[in-house]
Amino acid sequence: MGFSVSGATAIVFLGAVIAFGSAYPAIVDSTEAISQAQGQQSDRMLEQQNSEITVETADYYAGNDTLAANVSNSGTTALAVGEVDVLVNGTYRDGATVDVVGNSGSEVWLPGEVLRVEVSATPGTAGAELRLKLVTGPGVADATGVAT
Amino acid sequence: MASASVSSLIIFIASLVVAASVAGTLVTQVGDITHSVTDSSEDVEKNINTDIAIISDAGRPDSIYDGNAPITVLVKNTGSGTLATDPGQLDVLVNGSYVGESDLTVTKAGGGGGSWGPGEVVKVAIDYGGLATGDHRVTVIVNGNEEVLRFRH
Repeated sequence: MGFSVSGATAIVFLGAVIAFGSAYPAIVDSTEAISQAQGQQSDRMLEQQNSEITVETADYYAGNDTLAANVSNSGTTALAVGEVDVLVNGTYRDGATVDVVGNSGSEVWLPGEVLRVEVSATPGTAGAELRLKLVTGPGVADATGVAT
Repeated sequence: MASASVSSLIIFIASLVVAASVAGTLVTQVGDITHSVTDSSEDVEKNINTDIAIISDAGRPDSIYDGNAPITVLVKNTGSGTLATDPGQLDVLVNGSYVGESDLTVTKAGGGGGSWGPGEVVKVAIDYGGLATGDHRVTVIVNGNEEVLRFRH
C-alpha cells in the first residue's frame, strides 16, 4: 500500500513538474510581450499628445501652379519628415516636396523648426480657394484655406 | 500470503496506471491552456500595436463622397505594427450599416503594393452609394481599433 501511494504520488508530481515547465516560459513570454506592447502604446500616446503643428503661411503661385506652405513644429516632439502627408482639397498628394528650412535633406523635423511644403495644385475654378491639410506621423494635423 | 502479495501487486499497478492517467491528462490540459494563452496574448499584442487615424479632410467633403459611389476614406497607420492591405482585415460601417468585404477596395495612397507599414496611408474605397443630403459617419475598425469620420454631404 505504501509503495502504491508513493509511486502514484511520484508520477503525478512528475506530471505536474512537466506541465509547469511547459506553461511557465510561455506565460512569462506572453506577459512580457503584452507589457512591451503596452509600453510602446504609452510612448505613442505621449508622442501624439506632445505633437502639434501650425501652418504659418500658405500661398498659391499661379505662375507655376504651386501651393507652398511653411509649417512649424509647435509641439515638443521630433517628427519624421517622411511620414508627413499632404492633402490638397482632400486628395492625397504623393508628389509633394517637404524639406526642413535651414536643414535641407534632414529626415527629422525638430520642435521649433519650420517645414517647407510645396505641391503642384490647380484651383477647380478660377479664384476658388484651395484647402491644404498636413498630417504628421502620429496623426496630428492642421489645415488651412489658401486663396488663389 | 501469496494471495496478499498478488493483491498488493494488482493495487500497486492499478495505482500507477491511475496516476499516469491523471498526470497525462494534467500535462495535456495544461499544454492546451498554454497554447490558448499564447494565442490570446498574440491577439492582444496585435491589438495594442495597431492604431489608425482617418485623415480624410472633412473640410472638403466632395473628396470623400461626390454624390456617387464610392465613398473614399484615407486611413493612416499610426501604430507600430505592419498591417495588410486586405479588405478582410477591415470592418467598415456607413451610418451604422455594415459594408461587406466585397464592397471594399484598399490601395496604398502613395502607390505601390505590399503591406501597410507604420506612417503609411491607404485609400479605402467603399462601394456604397445613395447617401442622402445631410450628416454621415463612416466607421473603420482594424484589429479592434475604431476610428470615426463624420462628414456632411
